Amino acid sequence: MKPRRFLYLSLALLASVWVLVPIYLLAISAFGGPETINAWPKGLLPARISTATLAFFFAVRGVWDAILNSILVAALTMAMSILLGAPAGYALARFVFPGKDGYRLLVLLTRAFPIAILALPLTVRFIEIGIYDTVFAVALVHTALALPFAILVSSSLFMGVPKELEEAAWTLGCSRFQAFREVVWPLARPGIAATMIFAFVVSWNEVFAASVLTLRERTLTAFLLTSLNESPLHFRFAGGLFLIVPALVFIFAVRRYLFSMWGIANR
Amino acid sequence: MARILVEDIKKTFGKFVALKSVTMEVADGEFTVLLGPSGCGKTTLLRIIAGLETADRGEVRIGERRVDHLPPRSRNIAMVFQNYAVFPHMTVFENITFGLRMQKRGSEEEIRRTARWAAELVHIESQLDKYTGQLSGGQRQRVAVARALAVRPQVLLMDEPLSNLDALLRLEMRAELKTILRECATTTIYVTHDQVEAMSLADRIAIMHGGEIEQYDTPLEIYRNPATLFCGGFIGSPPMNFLEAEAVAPGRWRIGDFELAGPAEGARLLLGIRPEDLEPAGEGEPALVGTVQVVEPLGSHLLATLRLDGRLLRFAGDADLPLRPGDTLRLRPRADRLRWFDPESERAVRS
Repeated sequence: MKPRRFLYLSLALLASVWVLVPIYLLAISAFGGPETINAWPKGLLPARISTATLAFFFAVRGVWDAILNSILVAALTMAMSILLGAPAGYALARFVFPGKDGYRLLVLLTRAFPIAILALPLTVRFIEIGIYDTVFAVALVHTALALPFAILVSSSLFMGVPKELEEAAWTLGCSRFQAFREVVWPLARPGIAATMIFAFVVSWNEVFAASVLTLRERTLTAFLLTSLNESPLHFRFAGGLFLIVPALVFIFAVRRYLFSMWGIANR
Repeated sequence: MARILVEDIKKTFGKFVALKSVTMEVADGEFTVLLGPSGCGKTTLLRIIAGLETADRGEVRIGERRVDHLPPRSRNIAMVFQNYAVFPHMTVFENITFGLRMQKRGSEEEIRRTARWAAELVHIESQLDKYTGQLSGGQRQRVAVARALAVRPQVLLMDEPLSNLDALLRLEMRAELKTILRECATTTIYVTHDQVEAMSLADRIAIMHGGEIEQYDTPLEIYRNPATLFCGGFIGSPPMNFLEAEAVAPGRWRIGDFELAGPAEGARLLLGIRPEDLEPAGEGEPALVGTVQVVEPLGSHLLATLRLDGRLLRFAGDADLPLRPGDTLRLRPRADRLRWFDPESERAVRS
């Protein structure tokens, strides 16, 4: 084996282990029943498969509310990111306007601020206007996080649809809107779906803003974070697993588009 | 079917003037080709007629209707694009019927019949259920033509429709397009930079240069009587020869030692003569005398490049002429094919 290839494989292996081992530990702890958590050495597979831990997790008061809140926030984030991001992306892709490059940069700059800088002043403002501790308020902040991706990715998606296709549709009797609906949208749809899922995952995983902006209307991440200290170990493992599985499944489902999003050609 | 009237169209992109002031009329059912080098404004003019660009000023009329304020969909046009622009997420049938469906023209049955008619016209009736991604470039362009013809437009606009095809296919499609379009008798504007395509297809050619139409006439008239130096140099392969001539007496002109009759006015003019309008001269006859530099036997004829007092002269003659580089050749221009140009204005001077 050539040294370069060896190095490459080792790094790939290291990266995989880095990601997979914690997930594996989470999984066996969540499915192994309460007693396997403190067992040492751990078996490669849990001694027995048990749903007791997960059942316990879902039975805790507030968990279902938190899950529902998380789903609501993520769905709102997804909807708002696309409704705001896709038109902005379309404008960036199709029109020439003064300050276009500046606008593109500005969009990215919102990600340059740490979330804490965004969340704390917003808390004050949200209390003032009376939307503090609501699902909508959290979704607003999450949209701010997901929007730059939504804009830039959808702009590259729309750029991938040749302008002539739209023009051909115009000459064949379409209004601008019809041409978008009949030609641009069907071609961009798979990528838009990937962008939406990405926005969903961003929101689903976000913990800081969600914790700061809510008291009772906790999302799952915020709920787990605040209840970590007073809950048994196996509860934390079950919660952790439940948090990462949807994100993993979603990311896996749209990985092809994430590659193209980041400019890595895999076709 | 309708005539097209373009009046005083001006268009700038930032500081670049794409069209200075273009006025032209295309008669009902006529096939007009806009011909010119890249950047001459021909595609811009086509897109203004289509409504895909907005002119800075001027009028566009299709039929008796003024259309320059209307969106493309209300202009009763159809367009064929250089890169085909067929919809990849639709089958050939859906592509061809797209315009009819969007304009809600006719019943399901009528639309189906029109689609079949258009598909048969361009010989793709066996491909109707395929997606356009499964088709070759030539077939895609056929779909694009069928899609444009299916809406029965008053005006058909074509933007370099053959230039993405390989040479052999282009030749085949060119002949076929001519047949199809004659059958439909739709008023057509066709943009190209290929002079052979223009000559072979057009009823009339508009030669564009630097945002202006330099000449708008039948192919043969443009070939025989170019209005400007540019037209003479752009049309014809090889292009027209231009030789500097000095007046020796009113109506008598001299090129080197060769004297000939010409316009009565002017002191210095350029003589334009096509390579095939030069003939070998007999001994003792007055002639242009040059040294052969390059001989290109092309089969159908022979092309020679001569040096004549420091100028180059192209001569197209009989394929059997025994010419070699270094030979001295005596040539006589055909008197009825002499064309004169003013070197200042670059425009033709009538003799």
